[in-house]
Amino acid sequence: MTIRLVVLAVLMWAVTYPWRAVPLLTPGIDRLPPSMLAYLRLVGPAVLSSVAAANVLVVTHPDGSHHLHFGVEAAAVLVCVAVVAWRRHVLPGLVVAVAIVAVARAAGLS
Amino acid sequence: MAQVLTDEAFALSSGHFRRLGRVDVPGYWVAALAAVFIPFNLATLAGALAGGAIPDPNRFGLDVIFPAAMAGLAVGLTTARRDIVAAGAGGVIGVVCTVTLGAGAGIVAGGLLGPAVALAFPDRHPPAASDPDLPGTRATTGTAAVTPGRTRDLRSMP
Repeated sequence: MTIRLVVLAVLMWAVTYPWRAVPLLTPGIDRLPPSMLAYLRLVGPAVLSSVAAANVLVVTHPDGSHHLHFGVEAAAVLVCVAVVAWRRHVLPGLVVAVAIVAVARAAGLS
Repeated sequence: MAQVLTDEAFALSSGHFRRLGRVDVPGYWVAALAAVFIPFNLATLAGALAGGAIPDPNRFGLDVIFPAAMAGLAVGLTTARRDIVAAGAGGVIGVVCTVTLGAGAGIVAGGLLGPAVALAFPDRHPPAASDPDLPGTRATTGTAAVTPGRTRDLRSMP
């Protein structure tokens, strides 16, 4: 680990910590209007799916441009979602997703 | 609390809160520390010490764990139609904005605009279904706190 990574970690903390702490510490945030609370409750599923979808459906080329790409990783994540919805547990979905990608790559499909 | 508030801890604890119908501060610490923070750091240490022994982790499909975990945790938070719409819209907006604007902007746009799209749909919760394994499988909202000083009304949770 280099000192630059430590500095980067501290900077990341300084940037992200207030976003997490302020909503917890702000007085009266639990008395927001119902529509605002409903909106905030929906941020969780929206941002998690956004992270997942952007991670597997977008590839970055060496020139920095981004392109849509549907590969075996995206299919594996979709299967993971189905398994989690079926089994009501995250771990089986992860195992299935990893297995799909590993087999596909071993077979030269990805 | 914010120091250990990660995406994973948020998803696990908020699903736990929904299932209970109230905020459970000790439960938050279990989700944030016992289930995420300590295992994450132990795994990071193991990876730093022995990760070099694995020639190419991607060969084993390990790189798909992160997006699959995010998607799986999102499933755990979807208990009503609006949740599903928010997740779907967040995913679509996130991908479109990532392609057009860049990775960071895409995720932020998905997280901010997905809920706005979902609010355009009428709220309709499915019948509550008990599920001991997966967080967020029971549509309980607005239940009063039962342990003053340690819990709060669920309506106070974003």
